[in-house]
Amino acid sequence: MISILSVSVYGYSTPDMNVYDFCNDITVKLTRFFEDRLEESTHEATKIAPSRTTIFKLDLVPRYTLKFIETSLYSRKWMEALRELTRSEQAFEDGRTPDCCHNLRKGLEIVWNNVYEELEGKKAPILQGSTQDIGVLVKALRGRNVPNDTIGLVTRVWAYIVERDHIEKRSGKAPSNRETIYAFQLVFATIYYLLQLLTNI
Amino acid sequence: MSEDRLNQIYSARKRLSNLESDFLLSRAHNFRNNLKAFVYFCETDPIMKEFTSSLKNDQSIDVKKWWDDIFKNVSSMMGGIRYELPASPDKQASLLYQFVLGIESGKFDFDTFCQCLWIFNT
Repeated sequence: MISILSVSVYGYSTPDMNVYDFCNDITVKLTRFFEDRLEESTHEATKIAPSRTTIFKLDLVPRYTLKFIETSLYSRKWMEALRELTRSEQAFEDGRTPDCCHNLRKGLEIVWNNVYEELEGKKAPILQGSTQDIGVLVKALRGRNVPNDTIGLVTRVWAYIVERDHIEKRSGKAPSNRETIYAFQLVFATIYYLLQLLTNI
Repeated sequence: MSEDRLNQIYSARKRLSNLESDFLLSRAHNFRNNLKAFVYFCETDPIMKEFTSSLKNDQSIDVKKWWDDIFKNVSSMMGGIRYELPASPDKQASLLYQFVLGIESGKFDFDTFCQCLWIFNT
């Protein structure tokens, strides 16, 4: 007697699960590769475009701020941060304000962490789970003689964007356009300030 | 000139982002349509073609052999069959792109990859 046993690359699973696993395993790797290539091409194209042309399209933030952020992130190969910020812009353009705030929060978190690493020469510790330990990041800024009122603003911006990212804490209410534009401007201004710290080392 | 190119890149980025979302939300009934749209985009978009032409023509990649190797030890695949990918991002992308093209064209069977049949006698 012949029996047939179905075994998958991904173990025993349904057709939907196979598709899900295939997309997460194969196609995501490819699309990320293409995303990186497109980012490089964008950077190359903006280098030969007028000096204030950047990969960012929306006029929510001054061009020179965007250009500085883009150049700094690209030159340090902080592509993950750049990707989060360009995704935040795309999400805003598509009207997805929760996604926009999430990407902004991620972008700020990555930049702040990387700035810490560059200032302190070691990785920033992560609290239990995946919570960012803001205390050590603040301490690093203090160690660089960043004024207390500026540190206060940076931490308030962090709190503001974290609050907008956690819509479950807001009874599932998505951030409004007004809040999201404000968050966009605050986060970009903060990232600009943090990156400027590195140019003054 | 550079403005035109930037616009083409923006357009490609947006389309790629949408296709990526489609993939992540794919189910069995719409996966092939999403795959077809992805391959069409990769093969026809002027910016994407710049990347995919080198991936397709990478002579160091033998996707057929890679496919055969997956199923070579089919009798010992109780824990699921396995495959290996090159460590280099460029080589990995070449292999995966050629594989995806093969799946889309029918050269490689998606169901065989995901639902490998193990026939045994009892």
